[in-house]
Amino acid sequence: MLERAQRFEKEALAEIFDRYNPGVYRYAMRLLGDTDLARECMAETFSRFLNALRRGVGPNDYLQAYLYRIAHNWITDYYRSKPPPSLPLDHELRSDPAEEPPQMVADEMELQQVRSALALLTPDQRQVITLKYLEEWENEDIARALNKPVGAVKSLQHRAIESLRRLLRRQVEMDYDTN
Amino acid sequence: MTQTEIELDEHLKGLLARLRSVPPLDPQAVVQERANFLAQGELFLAAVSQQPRRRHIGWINTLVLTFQRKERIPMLNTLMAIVVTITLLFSGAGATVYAAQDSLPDEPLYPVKTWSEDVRLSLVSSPQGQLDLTLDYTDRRVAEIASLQATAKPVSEGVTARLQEELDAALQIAAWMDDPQMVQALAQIRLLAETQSQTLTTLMGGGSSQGDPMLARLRERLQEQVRLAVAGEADPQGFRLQVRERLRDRQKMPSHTPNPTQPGPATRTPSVTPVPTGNSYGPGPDGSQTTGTPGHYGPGNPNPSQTPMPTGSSYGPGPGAGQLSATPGGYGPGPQAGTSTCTPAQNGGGPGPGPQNPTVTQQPGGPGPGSGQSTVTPQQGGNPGSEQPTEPPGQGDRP
Repeated sequence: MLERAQRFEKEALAEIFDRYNPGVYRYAMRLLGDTDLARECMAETFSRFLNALRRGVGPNDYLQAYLYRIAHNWITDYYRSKPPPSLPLDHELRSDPAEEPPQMVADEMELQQVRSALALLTPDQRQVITLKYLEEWENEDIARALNKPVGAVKSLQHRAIESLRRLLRRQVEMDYDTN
Repeated sequence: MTQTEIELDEHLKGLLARLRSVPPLDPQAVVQERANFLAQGELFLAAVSQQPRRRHIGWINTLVLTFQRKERIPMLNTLMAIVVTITLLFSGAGATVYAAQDSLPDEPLYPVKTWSEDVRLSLVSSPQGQLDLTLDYTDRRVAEIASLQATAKPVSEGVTARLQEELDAALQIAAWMDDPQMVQALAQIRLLAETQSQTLTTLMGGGSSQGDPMLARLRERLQEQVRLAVAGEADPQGFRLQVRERLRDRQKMPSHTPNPTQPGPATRTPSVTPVPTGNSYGPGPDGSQTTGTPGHYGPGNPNPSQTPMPTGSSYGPGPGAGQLSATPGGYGPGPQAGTSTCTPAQNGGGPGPGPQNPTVTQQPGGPGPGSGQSTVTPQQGGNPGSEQPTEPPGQGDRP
């Protein structure tokens, strides 16, 4: 399929988009928390993929890891250039009217805290947490996506979890201080 | 289960698990993004014929991306442009000079070759280095002449003139050295001149009077070089005087006008001048020496014994009775003990009119009581033993 994509065959490109666009979108959405941003990230990821094929520097295998790496770079650049996105509470609130409003607000605040903590991680730590615990990838696949050895990925996971835990703890302490 | 997974506590697991639930993208948005993606692919499909070539040169892109910086530094770009420009200029000039080193006088790059030789010589400061280079250049000239002869091409006057200039320059450089160094340098000059003379003899077909007259004159000049070197090895001080006279005579001659199409000889007057050891103006043991030089190419005095002998010899450190230290003619024979014969080479070897050539200059000096013969023909009546020398003792003009 990848070889056909390198020849820009329409069917191959369509197959690639259909297979990987949900995952790329989810990955972006989980990290960015914004539908429009996640969509933009997904579109840019597939566009960069085509440009890479055109320059002859596209992937020869492990297309999924390659696409997630593009998306990860896009998100990293976004975090560098802009502050973490605000939470669209109204949209989420309307998504599940069965829940009680106070509980929904509390849940969303908690999700926002997690996203903020993830945003404060290093790009590699953020990606390894996302791929491992949200996308549920195997370490070998994560290693391909990060272009790192498996051992380095495990070490990165360890540091990422410690950092995430410390950041969340600090947020809780700040909430107590505020109250 | 890995150690990392174990460390992930339930609370954190729960928080992250809640992030998993992501509402799917609007189907219309998916369709739109898909259409955009495929349209972009079709756009690139138009240029798909370049893909095989790109596949082969893909490593170049990889190489470029490896050194590509995300952050651009304008000053770095300017500096790189300057460095590249200078590199191209100098490498181009250097390549031209290098390519010119094997050129012959009838080739366009020959002026570059001679120019590079002059530049290289001007960069050498030590007399021995200058001598080595000059002798090397004389060898080049002889090789060029041999190449021209081998291809039946005429030997230009510019090449022969340049060779003669280089031969003279070698003598001048040697004259500047101290006595021990000068003797070694003259031996070096002599050996090379002998070899070059033999080469010209071979080119002329072995006979002494055969071949190109220009080559014949060159060979005679080389033989003169041998004679001068031999004499200089025996008498360094006399050699210095001879060189000085040669230089003076050459300066009096009309300047050489080379063929415009051929490079002329460079002016090779070394920046240093020979300083004769000791007083050049003192009386010699016999006072018979003379510094008269009838002219580089002009007819010499055919009968020196008939010329009036100055009361005081101009320079008198001649070691032997009647020894002649003058250089009567450009290609004449060297001095012989007891007598002095001048054989002008330029005029067919016959004796010249002698006193009719008034170009000799008189060198005032101390009184020379010797009884040797002199070739000096005083100008304007002469003033032997004048108490008003035209130049201070010990500060004569140097070659």
